[in-house]
Amino acid sequence: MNLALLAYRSLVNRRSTAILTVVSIAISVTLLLGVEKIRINARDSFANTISGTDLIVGGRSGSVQLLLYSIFRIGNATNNISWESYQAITSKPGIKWTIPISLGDSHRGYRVMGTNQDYFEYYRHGNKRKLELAAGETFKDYFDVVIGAEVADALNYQVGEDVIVTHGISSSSITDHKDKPFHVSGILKPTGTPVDRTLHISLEGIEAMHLGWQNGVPIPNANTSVKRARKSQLQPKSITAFLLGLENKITAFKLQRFINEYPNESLLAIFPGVALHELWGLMSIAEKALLAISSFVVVAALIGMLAVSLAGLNERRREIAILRSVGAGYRHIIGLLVVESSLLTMAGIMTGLILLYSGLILAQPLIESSYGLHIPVTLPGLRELGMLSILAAAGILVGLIPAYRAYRNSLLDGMSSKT
Amino acid sequence: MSTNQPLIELSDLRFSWQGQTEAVLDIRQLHINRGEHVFIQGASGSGKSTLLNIIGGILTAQTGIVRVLGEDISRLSPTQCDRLRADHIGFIFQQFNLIPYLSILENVILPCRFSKIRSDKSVQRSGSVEDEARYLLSHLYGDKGPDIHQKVTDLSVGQQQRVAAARALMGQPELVIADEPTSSLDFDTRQVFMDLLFNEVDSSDSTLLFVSHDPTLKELFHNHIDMKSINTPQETCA
Repeated sequence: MNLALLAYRSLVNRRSTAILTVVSIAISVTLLLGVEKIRINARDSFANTISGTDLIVGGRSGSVQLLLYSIFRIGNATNNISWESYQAITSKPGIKWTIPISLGDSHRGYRVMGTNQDYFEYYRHGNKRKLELAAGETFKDYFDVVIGAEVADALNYQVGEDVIVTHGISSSSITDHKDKPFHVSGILKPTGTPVDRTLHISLEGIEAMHLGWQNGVPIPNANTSVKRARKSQLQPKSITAFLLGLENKITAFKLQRFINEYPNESLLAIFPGVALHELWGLMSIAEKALLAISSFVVVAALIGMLAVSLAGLNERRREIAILRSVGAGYRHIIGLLVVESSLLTMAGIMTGLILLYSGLILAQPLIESSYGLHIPVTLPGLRELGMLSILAAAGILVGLIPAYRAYRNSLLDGMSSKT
Repeated sequence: MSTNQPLIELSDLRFSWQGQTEAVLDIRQLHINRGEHVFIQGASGSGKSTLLNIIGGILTAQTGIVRVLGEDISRLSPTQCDRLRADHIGFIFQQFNLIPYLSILENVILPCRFSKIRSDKSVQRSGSVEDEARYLLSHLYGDKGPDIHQKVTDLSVGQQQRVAAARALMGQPELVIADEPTSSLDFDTRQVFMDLLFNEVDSSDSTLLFVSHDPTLKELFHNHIDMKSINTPQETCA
């Protein structure tokens, strides 16, 4: 019977406290790794919101602000881009495609975005994934709307349904574009990005909707019917932002400088990756706080193990005295207690991993269907293994404290402790 | 080590607990020869248990020479003391001798897990460590012994003491130290236990150091040591 088996048998003898210790370590491991997994996935899905775009161009503001309103549909643009400037930049050589974005209206809390067919052709998210339709087709008519998966799901819209767009972005806004209803022409597949929460219409649709409006309010008795709108000249005067893809990425810096120094208008061009990184940096405090909280839970679990171990020592004085008498040296006694805490820590880590992965497997389809977030069930990465190694080492080190106490006790008790 | 040397040899031994000036033990001279059955008598507090701990290498005397099997154990490192105890000494205590979560067999073979010498001796005599344990248990129990895979917590105190004796005798240690092993037994069980213990100690060629405050057991031994006469602690004023 080696020391590990002896430690194991001793633990089984004290199974109720041992199991509680293992469970508390397991929960802390699940929390620690769960937070880490969600953090990594949130960062990945965040970084995957947009891909394949070389530059985002908007009115002069902060790069994070531009990223937020153009891609994440958060906040508002302070300045628009005039149609002339957009055309001028688009006609520069080396530009493969552009996607215009026109924002400012909403539907029941979801943003409405004006764009063109290039959006469906060139917009990429995740690992260079194209937008795909789950039903219907892209907008053909001025009054067609293509809705994101979450919009369709939350408002229970089908293809062919009528949608009234609200002027402004507050869901309580009373100025609806009632006179010009839109028809759902298509529904996009879930992407796990803000696209799911967006209603897409053509740029001409945006213009048509606002015919007979001035300064954000309808002109009374303007009588601009759908029929009349179709006949009007619907060239947009401005757009909010545009995305841009290049033939050759090397020219991106040159083009960025050109746009940022554009003489006729104050414009800003940003690299999506850089801005995403900057934005994620803003959230790193929350990220660190989460990690700190789960680390403290791990520390609490280890202290719990230490407390249980120290409290149990008094009852085990006899056991240790017997072991000393049959020939166990102080190294065996220290070894026994260190092996014991190691066994508890290992069992806690194993149980924690089982909890985490069974939870992941169970929750994965649920998270994917409700948040569009795919959390892959992958083996722990280097960072997670590092965390677990630190935990295992800490568990072993924690065992040294009761081990030393047990050794001190055995010196005082000798072999004939009567307790 | 030659055989004519005493098994235990103490001279000018002084021991006091840490932080105390008063000596618990002050023994000028003590010799115990090989193969002897020695009865050590003394009231509680007379330093019996301390003496056994010193001979067992758990406690270290401040001054004096403690030779066990020819080795001056006060000069040994703690690890060497542990080694000496594991290889050459078997212990039986008053009660609670056994590890509660191990079976009878596992308790008995425990010393062989810590000592290669006692493990080898067991294999030499009985073929295997388990067979040596079975042999000793059958001798100590007679025919109607309990199942050796049984939990020790189910045993009566008398039966537990026999398991403890079997364990102390595993691998024929040179020295068996029994610290009031019969004080929790009734009269009849005590007689049986003593007979069995003597038999097995003799057949293993072990020396028996038997500590008790019970004078009725005294007649069973040829050699008697009274703690009162050998231990003469005096107040020392520094």
